[in-house]
Amino acid sequence: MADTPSNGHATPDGTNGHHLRLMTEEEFIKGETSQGILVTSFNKLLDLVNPLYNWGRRYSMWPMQFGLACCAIEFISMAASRFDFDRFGWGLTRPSPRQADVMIVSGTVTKKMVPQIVRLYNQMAEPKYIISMGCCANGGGPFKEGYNVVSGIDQYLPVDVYIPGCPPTPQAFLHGLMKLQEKIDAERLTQVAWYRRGPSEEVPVPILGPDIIDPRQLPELRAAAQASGGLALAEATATETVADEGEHGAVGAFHPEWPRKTKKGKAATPLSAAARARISA
Amino acid sequence: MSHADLTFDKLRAQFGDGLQREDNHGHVSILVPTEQIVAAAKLLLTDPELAYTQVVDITAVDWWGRSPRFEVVYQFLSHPNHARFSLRTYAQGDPPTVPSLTSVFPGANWFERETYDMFGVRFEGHPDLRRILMPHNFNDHPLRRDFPLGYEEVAFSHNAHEIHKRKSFTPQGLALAAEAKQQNPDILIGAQSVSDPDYKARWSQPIEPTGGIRQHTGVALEDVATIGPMAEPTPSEDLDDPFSGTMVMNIGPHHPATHGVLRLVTELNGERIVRVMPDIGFLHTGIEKTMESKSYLKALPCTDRTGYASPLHCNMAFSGCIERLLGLDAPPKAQWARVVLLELDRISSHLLCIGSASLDMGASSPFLWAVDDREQVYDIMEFTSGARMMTSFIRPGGLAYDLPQGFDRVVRRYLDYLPSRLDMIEEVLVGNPIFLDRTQNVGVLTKADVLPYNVSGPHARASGIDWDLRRDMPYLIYDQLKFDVPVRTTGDVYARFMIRFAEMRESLKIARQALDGIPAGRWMTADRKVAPPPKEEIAISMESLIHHFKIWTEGFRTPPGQAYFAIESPRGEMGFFMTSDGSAKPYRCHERSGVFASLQAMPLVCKDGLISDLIAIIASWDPILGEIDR
Ligand code: SF4
Repeated sequence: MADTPSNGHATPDGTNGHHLRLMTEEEFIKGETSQGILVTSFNKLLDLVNPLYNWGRRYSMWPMQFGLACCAIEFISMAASRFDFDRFGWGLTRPSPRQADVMIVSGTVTKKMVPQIVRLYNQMAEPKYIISMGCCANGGGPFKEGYNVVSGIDQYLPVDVYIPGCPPTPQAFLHGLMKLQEKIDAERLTQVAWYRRGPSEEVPVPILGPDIIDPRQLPELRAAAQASGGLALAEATATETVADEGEHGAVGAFHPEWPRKTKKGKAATPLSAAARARISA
Repeated sequence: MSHADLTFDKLRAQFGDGLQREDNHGHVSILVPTEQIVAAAKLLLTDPELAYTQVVDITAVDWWGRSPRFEVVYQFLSHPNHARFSLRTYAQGDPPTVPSLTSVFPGANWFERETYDMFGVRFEGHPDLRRILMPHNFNDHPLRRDFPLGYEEVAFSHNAHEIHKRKSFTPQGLALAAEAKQQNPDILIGAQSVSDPDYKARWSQPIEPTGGIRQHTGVALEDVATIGPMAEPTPSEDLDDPFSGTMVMNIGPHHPATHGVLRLVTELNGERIVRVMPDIGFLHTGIEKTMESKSYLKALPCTDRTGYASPLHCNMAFSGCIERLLGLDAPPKAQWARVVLLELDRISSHLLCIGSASLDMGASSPFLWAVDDREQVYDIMEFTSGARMMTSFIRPGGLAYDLPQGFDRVVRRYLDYLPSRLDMIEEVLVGNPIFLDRTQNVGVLTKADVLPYNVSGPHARASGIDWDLRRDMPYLIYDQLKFDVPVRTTGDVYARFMIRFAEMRESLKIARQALDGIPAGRWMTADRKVAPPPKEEIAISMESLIHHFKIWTEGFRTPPGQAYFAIESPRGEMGFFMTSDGSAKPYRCHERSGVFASLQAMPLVCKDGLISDLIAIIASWDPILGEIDR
């Protein structure tokens, strides 16, 4: 029994019945090479894993189904049968940012839209990449001088690949796609951000304007607008929501602290504790 | 006596001889005193002989430095008489105010909101005067002439450093901008804003309290007979507890079914829609301001990028408006070729609509087929102009270049190829009970709502309005072609899709006839003030050299005046309104898009439907956000 491998029955002292003699490194290598395997260090082991890991990732990127402007039309062309980016394993466009690996900013980024884009990016799970498609997303494009256009999405989000063109042709897009694949290929497991300790930091959401409307409050909003000739509406919607724009923007209509009016016209108290619990649950 | 003369006489009979009439190449407009605008509009609508059934466009012109400063311009269209007419009035007082037309034409609603948002002109009596495109806490009116364009020049390697220095509205930046303004008064910077050190703060500050709206003293709005106020869906019953009554669901601006960045705030009672409020402006690029800062030719590429599903139609509406200002006609070859290209463009737009709609409803094969068929239109465009999508091929005065050799052959091949493909796509959709269930009797737009709510194009024809600008108010050479205008009566989502199929088949017919008729000759007008001379002439003629230099540096000039020109785009009436001050840049350039106007009617159609119907309805509306937000 002494030199045969253990059959798994544990002896009372917790060992498997025999004590493994420590091999010297030389012996270990000799044994390994006789089996055709050579492991020299942990890093070298990772070098063997990295290509496999990257190969798997670069051929199964799921883009977010997301279009902003004209470039989105060329993105559609590229996604459909003639150019077919499914050949690269990129074909599964996901409507939800939670399931997407790559965000393709395809079109003009306006000041009204950029908070939403940043919010979407924050909702994506690591690893995540951004392709900036077209001059508009790269740097403002033909509307750069316009008052409502931001000069490129890279002022807000980290862009991995820029694709020039207005709009870029599908061929140009595929080139950009392959560039991103090259970038993924060069990544190493030990260096990627998402295996580090701690949560990854969110990109701050720019506050450029409240975008919250609750149709149930329309009569009040209209009355306020009428009373001051239109502009007070912004106050009516802005004061309550600006502060929590980043966190509660999408559900702002349900924000518990909103003053509510009942139908009879008296101001209602904020929601009951039970309702609040339900909201936060 | 033309219909415009009749209208003018009737208006004069009612409002006195003081009315000023302005004729500009078929665009007739009348200046009406502010307090009489509602009565005048009412007369245009209700007089059985005049019968101006729609106010198709409302916008303003800012005559900065003059008093009164804001001129509000209304375009009316008479369906029974196939005639257009324009009224103008000055907004009086501070804040500038005009009475609202919404009591007469409910479809004026969004146009007035837009004018308010962009110019700060108040519309007294408007039911819902809020911002529509800019964020709600935005604190200025960007299309005013004293509002800066943005002053972010395009940076190249040689000037990037300098530009970045003056970015972000830093004190140095402000000083530099003021200096630039001194050197070149044409630069669009508001002197006011530039000297204002708090410029940056204007973007984020809370709204300063404004005075109350002036009391209305003119015509009593109650006296005006209405077609019916904007239908107001019933509010939810119990507002106290969000869980017992209705709930609010936010759709968009990022949602795969909103075709871009449309946002719909929906109030739901279970699965039923209580009401829908569209929130637009997420793609508002301020393109009108950008165009006003460029010469006519340089503004042209901006138009492609508004209606990007049908860029050539935007080119055409823009070029047509300039040609009207110039009093110029494109040569026959250009006109016939334009028709071929426009119809191909229409096909490609309708294919995109149907393809993406079927994808939204879960059918992916028609999407792949339709996009593949669009690719071939892009191939033709690339072959013709060098660009797949943004061709800018139709230009003021004609075409960018001559048609390439073999154009006839490639187009003909496509025209032969497409019918069977259309049959195939249609069969797959119509033969599918799921598609029928999701579209038939869903989202019905009744015939009575079409004209009041400013709906046009395929949406109107699906509801039984037999109106097509190509046939009824022909432009280009459409009057020489034979084609039918398909009309359906049910007004549901199904009808809106089937209309598009039928229209594509008609487009094939039109394109074939136009292709047969393309004459030989020039493709660009011979007017050297508009079209650059050919290169060989430049070498031998001093005059040509001067023209060439003028056109490519300053651009061509248009005589002062106003014009409105509209065409039938795949999404209804697309028009451009332009005011020229005689310079080489448009003083005011406004795009009227069909789907911006008709989106007003969508809440009406969605009411009481299911939330899944909403997806089909959006798809059938074909909202191209570039056209809506501009
Ligand atoms: S880069 Fe050009 S094509 Fe793309 S979104 Fe901007 S304007 Fe449109």
